[in-house]
Amino acid sequence: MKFEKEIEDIKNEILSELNLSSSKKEIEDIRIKYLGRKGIITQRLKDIKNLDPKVRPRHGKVLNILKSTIEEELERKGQEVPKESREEERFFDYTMPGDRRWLGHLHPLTTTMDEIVDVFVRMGFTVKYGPDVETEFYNFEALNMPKDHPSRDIQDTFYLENNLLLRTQTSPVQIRVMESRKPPVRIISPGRCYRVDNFDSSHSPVFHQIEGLYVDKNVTLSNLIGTLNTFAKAIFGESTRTKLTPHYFPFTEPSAEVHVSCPFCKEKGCTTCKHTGWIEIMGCGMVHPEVFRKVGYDPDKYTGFAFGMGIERVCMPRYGIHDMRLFFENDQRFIHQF
Amino acid sequence: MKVSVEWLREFVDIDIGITELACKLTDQGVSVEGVEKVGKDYILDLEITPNRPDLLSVFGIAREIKAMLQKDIKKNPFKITEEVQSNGSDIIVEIEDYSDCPRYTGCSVENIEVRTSPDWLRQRLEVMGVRSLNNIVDVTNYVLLEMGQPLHAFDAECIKGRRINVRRAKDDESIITLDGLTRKLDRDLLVIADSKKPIALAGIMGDEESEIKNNTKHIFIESAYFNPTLIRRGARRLNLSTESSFRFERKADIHALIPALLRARELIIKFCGGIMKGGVTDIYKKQEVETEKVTFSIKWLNDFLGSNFSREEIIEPLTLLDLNVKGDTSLEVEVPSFRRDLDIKEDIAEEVIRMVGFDSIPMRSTIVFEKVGSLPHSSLKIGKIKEYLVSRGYDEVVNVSFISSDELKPFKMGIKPIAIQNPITSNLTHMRSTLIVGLLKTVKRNMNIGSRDMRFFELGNVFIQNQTSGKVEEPLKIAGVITGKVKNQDWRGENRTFDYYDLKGDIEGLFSFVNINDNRFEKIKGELSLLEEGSDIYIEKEKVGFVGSISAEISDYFDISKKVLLFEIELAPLLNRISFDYNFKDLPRYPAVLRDLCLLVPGNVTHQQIEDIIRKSGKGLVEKIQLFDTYYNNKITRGLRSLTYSLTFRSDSGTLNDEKVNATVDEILKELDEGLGINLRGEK
Ligand SMILES: [Zn+2]
Repeated sequence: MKFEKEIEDIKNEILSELNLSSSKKEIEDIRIKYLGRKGIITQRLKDIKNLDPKVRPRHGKVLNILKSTIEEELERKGQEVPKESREEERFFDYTMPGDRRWLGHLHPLTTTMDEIVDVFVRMGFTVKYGPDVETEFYNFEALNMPKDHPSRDIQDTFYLENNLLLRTQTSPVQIRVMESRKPPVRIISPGRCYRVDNFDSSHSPVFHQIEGLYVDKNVTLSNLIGTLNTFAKAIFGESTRTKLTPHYFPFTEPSAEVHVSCPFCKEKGCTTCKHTGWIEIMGCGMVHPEVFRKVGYDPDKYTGFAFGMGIERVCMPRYGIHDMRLFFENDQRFIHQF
Repeated sequence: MKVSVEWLREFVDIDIGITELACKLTDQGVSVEGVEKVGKDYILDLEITPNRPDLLSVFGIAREIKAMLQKDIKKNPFKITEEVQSNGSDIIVEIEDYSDCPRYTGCSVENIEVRTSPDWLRQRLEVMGVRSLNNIVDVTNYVLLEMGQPLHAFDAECIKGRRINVRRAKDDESIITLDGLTRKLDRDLLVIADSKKPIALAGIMGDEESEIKNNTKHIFIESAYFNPTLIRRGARRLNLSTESSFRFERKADIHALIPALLRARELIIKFCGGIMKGGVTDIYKKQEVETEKVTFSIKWLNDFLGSNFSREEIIEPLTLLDLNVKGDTSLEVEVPSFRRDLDIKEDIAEEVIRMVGFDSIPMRSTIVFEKVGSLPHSSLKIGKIKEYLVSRGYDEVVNVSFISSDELKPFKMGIKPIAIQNPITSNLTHMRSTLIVGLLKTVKRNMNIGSRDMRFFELGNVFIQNQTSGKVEEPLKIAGVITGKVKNQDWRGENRTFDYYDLKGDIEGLFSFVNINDNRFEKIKGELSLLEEGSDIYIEKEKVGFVGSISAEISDYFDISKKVLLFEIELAPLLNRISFDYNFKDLPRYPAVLRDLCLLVPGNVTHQQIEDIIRKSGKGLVEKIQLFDTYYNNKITRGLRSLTYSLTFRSDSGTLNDEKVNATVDEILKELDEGLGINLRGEK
């Protein structure tokens, strides 16, 4: 009767464990330990089929009695235990704040720049970069702004030693690219530019630009207008209208300023557009033949268009930012809004 | 340029409202920046681009409005003709070099009476921003504003020898200009001199002695054309930009000289009394090309613009602009002397567009390119780096590229920043040679508004002069700064302040994110006194940056009282190594075996040294080395510390048995003991 003794021991062990238990959780743990899918009693019952057929009925009967005894005891104990033990008193407040890790934010100039670049890349333009520190030749002379010419007054320039200067526009990149290869050329050049200006709500001595250039046979003003119209709709929304007004740039002829219908008031007039309904976002024009001559392109064979915009000036009306200084102050409260 | 609408009405009928006028002018390329009501007059503030000197006068603007509104000119001050002779005036004029001064005209008026001008004249000048002085000077300014030709009136009694010589100044000469300043002169400056000395800086400003005084009786009026480049250089060198020099620089109209002179004489006689003395002097070396002609075909114009204009649609707007057009399919345009900016056929194309508007050009964006557009690989890599840092909680900042050299001093980096010759303020005098200055200022600024926990990064170029070549280099750098708590204070109470290992972990994570494995952190070399607790960062053998907490001296300089940690890394070595051509390695086929080693380590031995030995003596079987516990306490001999490692062993060629792993561990322990004096804890 060794087996009966063993079962008796198991039963006593379970009962004493049950006796000590004081919560539903503990009782459930005991049930799983003995009667669960891998529980001790469950396992013994499964093992019966491997026993000598002679003892199988006896063992089976004893184990089934144990099983039902334990089930009854569990049930009884379960009702005995007070419903709200300490453990179960704890209120699960699913509204308490989650454990949030910090997430950084990209600067709005980066996201705006990336978006603009993306639009032009999808249109077939390739991105090219160039240095911030430039020479008189690339920044002025090659762009049809000879020395001592009043056209240089438009862009007050920071100078370094040895006749070097900080580029006032990203156009020198266009010259460098044209010098290095034959048409067709179809590039955009994003980058940082510098002009002698004091910080105020609409000026900064350091700012960012994207310029574009397309040179090929038969490039027309009509292509330029169409391209910029497509761009403006992509950035400011499908209902955006584009308007060009004549302007002067030494490196393009004809030249124009590009205005888009104000995204805030739909041309009705508001503070963002200074009540005009339009916002000026860039300059553009047909590449001046003199610029082509400087890089060795034949102006009788090729035509091209160029455009350039300030990233800050595109970003400001887009997000309703009214002060350019905010871009460079890097106030967390500013950056976290983008 | 400011212009009075009432004055404009003298020359052209304006039968539209002021707002509409302003819009139309802007749409025609004469941008109206502002409109101001003064009494019953309106003052337009116009942006005149450098190519349009003809618009620097009331009449010039009226002429533009005339074309725009398709009106007639009511009165043309240029339509005065008088027979002039070479030296008709009592003052003898000589020109040293006609390339400096191609034309000089003048005349005398005597017995004038200097007094204040009539009210209307003074008001006209003042609304256009010119101060009224006396009737003579006011008249010359009036004519300048009306016709765009700068004039100068001399007190003729002060012209010694009654001779005017237009010449370069001599090196020992000087002049006291009307603003009271004594200016030293030299060969690069053009002057108007009498028989003794310079009496005016040609085209810029007169001198005190020959200016119009209250008792002046006899005057000489100058109307000249000076070399634009020469005037521009002089004005810039002397830092003296005047209404005159501004117009001469932009090329005056050489045919306007006589009409402007006669108009001034007429007005002076009218308002100042006086009578003509002698005739008009006109010294003029005529240029070879007197009339400018531009030719082009209608087909070219339409091909260039993508338009479909007829001959009439082209000729009409040009005629309104006073351009004479001849020809049929090929057109020849005669350009008047006041529009010498029209030089090439593209200029004429612009004139057509200005008049008919850009919206008469069809929009065609459908250009199909052979190749798709692309971004350089570096942009994509930079994007990935930014993506990582943002996900680690860093905010991106953008600082200007300027610093002061003073701000670099506490770093003692040994790099001389590049100076800006013409800085805007005394604290933005140099190009940044590091991104750290900007980041520390960003931290300070945010602390001032009450922020305590910050993580910032900036990616951008810095400017360094190469010591050997002298060339300016613009390496891209990435730098970051952290301060405050690792997390927001929360109810779970898990929190601590950022330390070196947090930042190092972020950098290691970055390298791992872009698949760069050969990075090491080593003891700071050189004289970098930037960091309190920190290290240099290497990729392979190349030092690429540093990381650590800033020194007390730097905290003090930037007035930051909290612990701040930062890093700065050269981007090029990273970008060169980042590759998007991933090389997939088969997943391991055999199980790994783990062993923990609790080591007693002499105080000055580093983790890196231990790791290097484990790797070397592990015979390629050590897959991973993880430090998971470290402590000093009483149970350990002084001068030692305990480091506990979990080593993962794995072989590519088969399942490792205990025997093999034990032998490897023994070998590792032997090497650690021999090389670094490290023993297993519990032994010895
Ligand atoms: Zn608006």
